[in-house]
Amino acid sequence: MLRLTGRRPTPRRALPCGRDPACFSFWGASGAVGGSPVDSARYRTSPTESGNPHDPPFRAACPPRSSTTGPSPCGHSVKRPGRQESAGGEPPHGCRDPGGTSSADAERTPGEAAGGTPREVLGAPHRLLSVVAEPVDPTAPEVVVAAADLLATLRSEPSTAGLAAPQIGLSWRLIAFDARRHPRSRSWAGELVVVNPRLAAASHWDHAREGCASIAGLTADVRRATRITVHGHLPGSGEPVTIEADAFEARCIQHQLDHLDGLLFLDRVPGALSLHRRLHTCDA
Amino acid sequence: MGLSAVTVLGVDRPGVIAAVTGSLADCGANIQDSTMTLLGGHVAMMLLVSGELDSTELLKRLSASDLVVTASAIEARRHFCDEGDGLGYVLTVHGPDRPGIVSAVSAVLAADGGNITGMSTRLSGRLYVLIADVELPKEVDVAALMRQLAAVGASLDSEITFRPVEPDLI
Repeated sequence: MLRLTGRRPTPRRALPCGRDPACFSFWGASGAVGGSPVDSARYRTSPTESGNPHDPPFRAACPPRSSTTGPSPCGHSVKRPGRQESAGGEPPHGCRDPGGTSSADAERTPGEAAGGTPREVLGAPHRLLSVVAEPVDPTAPEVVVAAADLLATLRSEPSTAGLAAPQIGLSWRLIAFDARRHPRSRSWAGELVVVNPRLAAASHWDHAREGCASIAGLTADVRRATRITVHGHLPGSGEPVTIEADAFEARCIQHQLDHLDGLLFLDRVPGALSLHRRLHTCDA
Repeated sequence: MGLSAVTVLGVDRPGVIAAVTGSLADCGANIQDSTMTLLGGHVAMMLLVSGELDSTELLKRLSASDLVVTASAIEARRHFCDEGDGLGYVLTVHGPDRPGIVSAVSAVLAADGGNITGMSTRLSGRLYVLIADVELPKEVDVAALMRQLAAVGASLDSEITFRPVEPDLI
């Protein structure tokens, strides 16, 4: 199991907009919301019949993997001792092409399959943003492709620090985040996609203003834990991973977990005066 | 010493609040409770002021060409329920914009004696958001109320959350 704990590495980058950190959160797609639903049929998998709660509830017809402990199908080593490695240059773990073996990948150009395809970020109100997402098999090729797309979408939004699969039209329990660039990050795991993440511990609660890529123009003061432990699996290898996050990264991850439960930050606003117009954006 | 409710509405520009509050200070009025926000590029301000001037005189002092100002004498009223008797909740509604959302939701609350003590609504694109502070009498069946709210939310194609206030008392 990977255990990602805090580090305080590279110098923080300046905000792309040069504005106050408060305007930089896990939002950013102000111009990319409100479009048509994304076709998710390509990612659909079949439910398992085992009924065992410990089994992945969805299991796709994927080719057998050679190993669950070696190099991941994404081509990157799973040997990643937490946050001790460089946060800057390492490719994202578990987020790449599973080897070109899936039918979904066969439909893609090599460039797309290697890096994922940025997808449209859905804007509220949208049905997929209000339903509970389904757990998935982290080793399924479709899930690996979805993880790559999620990450590619995250990368295409420079002022967005996290996304959840429902935001790109997939009601699956996948989140992607990268809190390295946020000036209020204290430590960070780097760029990461986690399948079936679940919150195991939360403490040190605090209020802060946050926005969302799926909600243009609004922010709110939301109370969240500033220290959390999250368990999940890496896409491709399916290797269990534990993330211990704090500060902004913890907030970002909790925000994405809410998306998987069909919740928006609006559902956690503590009072009428805590809802705010977003007067300026970083991605303008 | 009289109590007046003053409302100020005008196009937002730097200095509006300074001008209004400066006029109030010049005539010896004391600002008690107040709230201000921007609505569609307009500044909207409500103040509860006390002082020796009556509301008519206050209105004369505050008049400005680019502002709509009203002033009315009021009596201070006690809250509808004694302190500590009400139950505080926060209501969130979000969904596609359509007429009647506020009225439908507030009617459900009013039917059970719920009092909206603060409310913000925002329209952002197609998304309509309502956040309200609600105070309920203790005897209200909150579970039944939440079921009614859920039904109203479904009829409006909107998501509704209704949760207790979480005060951070230190």
